[in-house]
Amino acid sequence: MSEHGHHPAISRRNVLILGGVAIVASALPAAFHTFEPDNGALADRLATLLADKHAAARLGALLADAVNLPRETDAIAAGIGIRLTSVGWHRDGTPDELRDALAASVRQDYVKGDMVSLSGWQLARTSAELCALAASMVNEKNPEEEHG
Amino acid sequence: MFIDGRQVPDGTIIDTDIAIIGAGAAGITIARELIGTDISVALIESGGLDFEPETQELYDGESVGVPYELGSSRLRYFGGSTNHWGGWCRPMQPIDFEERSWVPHSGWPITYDELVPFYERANVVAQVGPFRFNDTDWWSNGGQYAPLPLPGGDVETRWFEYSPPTRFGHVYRKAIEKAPNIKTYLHSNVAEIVPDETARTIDHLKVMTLSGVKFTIRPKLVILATGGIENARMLLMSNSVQKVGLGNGRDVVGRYFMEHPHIGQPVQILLTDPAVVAPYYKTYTKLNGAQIRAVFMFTDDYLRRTRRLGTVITFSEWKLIRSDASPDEKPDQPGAELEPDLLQMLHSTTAKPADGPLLGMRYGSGCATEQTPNPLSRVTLSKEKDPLGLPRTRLDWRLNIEDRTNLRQNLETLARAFGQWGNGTVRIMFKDKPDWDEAEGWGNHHMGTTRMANDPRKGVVDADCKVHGIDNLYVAGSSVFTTSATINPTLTILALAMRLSDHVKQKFVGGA
Repeated sequence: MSEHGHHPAISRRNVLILGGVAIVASALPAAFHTFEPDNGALADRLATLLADKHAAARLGALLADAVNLPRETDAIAAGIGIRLTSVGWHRDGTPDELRDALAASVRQDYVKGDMVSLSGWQLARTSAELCALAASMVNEKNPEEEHG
Repeated sequence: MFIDGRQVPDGTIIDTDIAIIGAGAAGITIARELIGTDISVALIESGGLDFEPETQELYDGESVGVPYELGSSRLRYFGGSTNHWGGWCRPMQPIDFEERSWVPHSGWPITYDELVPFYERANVVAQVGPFRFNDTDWWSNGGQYAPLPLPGGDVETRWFEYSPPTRFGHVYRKAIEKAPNIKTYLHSNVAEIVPDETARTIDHLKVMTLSGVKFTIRPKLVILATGGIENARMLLMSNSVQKVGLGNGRDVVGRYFMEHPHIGQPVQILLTDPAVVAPYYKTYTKLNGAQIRAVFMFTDDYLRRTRRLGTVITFSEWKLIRSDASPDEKPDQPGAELEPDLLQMLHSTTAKPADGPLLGMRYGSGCATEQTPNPLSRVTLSKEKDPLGLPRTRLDWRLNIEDRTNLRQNLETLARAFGQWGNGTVRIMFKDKPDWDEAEGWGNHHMGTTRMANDPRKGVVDADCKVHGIDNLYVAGSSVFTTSATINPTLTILALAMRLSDHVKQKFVGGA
């Protein structure tokens, strides 16, 4: 016993337990990540649907200036993912199902009147976000690239 | 028989059963309907058989509201404004006759169904094809053509049929000239419709020529058919007995002037597949005995649900859009550089992928829209005088801001319909601004100034087109329209004229 008081005794058993907790804790972020949507992958899948990614990116650059759209790829993809889910799409769906869901989401926007105006053109919100996504992805790939 | 009023001896008094003032679409139609009867008719026309500048100048006046061209929007000679008529024919819709709670001063005292038999007869007079205006199958050309399948139930395709156009002054001249019971007085201007001292019965018409001849016509019954502006002017300046003007005891004559604001390029439309557009949309198309054109209009259900007024929209091909256009090609209009990219987006999402460099087509458009009846929009008498010494017209055309908002909302609805379809996208070009200060354009359609209503406080003529409170004065023409609808007025003018001619014939058969 010293003048600094009592030190709790740490048994070998406790060390093993604490060590195990630490290992589990360190693994948690990766484990949690597996439950979150992989928006980067969704972005890539959406990009493959674009007939002309650069055309969409040019519109996206203009739209980002004209209206308040997010500029980060994951955030944009996450937003589109929510829209697609609302029309019945599942992340493990086929490319055709993704395209169908995209079309359904665009149509739903028009039904609801959720449009974005670009020089008077009335774009569905989903289309506008898809353009913003393309702009963001092109920018990430080549930050110096101009879309004008 | 044609009689030049300038050759009538000064001071002559002419007795007749019916005097028709004005030989335009309505006046000539009514006169034709009276051919072969025992009813003597005096058809009185300000002009001659051809355009004469000095007569046309009588139309000049003041425009103090939304800028309006009073002189060139109508023609003052035998045949009237049919001499420059475009020939667009279509009946109004049932909803156009109804009292709509969201449209102040709406509601005709007659229904669409009552007018249908007369519309069918009017089709013949206007030399239009069969009465098949909303018949998709009839215009399908054996299943070859189909309307664009715009979903949502708000926008639908309807058809106009074209008159050649019938120039009434030429086509029906001989019939009028040879009719033994019709005397047509040319170069003869009615200066006043004069009632007896009770102001309940028209006694005579004062007639003048620009050459200075004055004579009198004493009819048993008068039909005023001088056009949507001039009808009001004529009643207002017929004020020697009723000082506020004939039929104007309630201060309604001249009020509620309506036009169809016409907007050039209110929208542009990009379509991914021009092949799906039937020819009848793009231009005048000859089909099944008629010359037709398809338009977009808004369904009665939509108008009721959204509490809006109608709009009619035409569209036509403008430019093919390709992915392989030369980079040196300059955009032909501001924003054109976006079009290939927009079409690529459609091909990526809702339309099938393009299988070559042709991405789609840009279409231009035009539209006419309904305006709310407005008592402040009116025809009055100017202090200026014409060469006959008669007060000129003063027009104060007013449009409500709500009419502008209404049109904008209808265009958005069109954009939504194309968006839901998925093969097209719409650009709204109509300016989002707070007023109509600049005239956007108009259709030369003058309506509402002697409107029809059962209640004399709300209208000048009753359901028979008889002026309230006067036994033998009737009005023909678009001035009796209670509301304007969105379509060109001539077919309705003719239908109402035929209905009126049946009515007056019956009166003479029964004893006028």
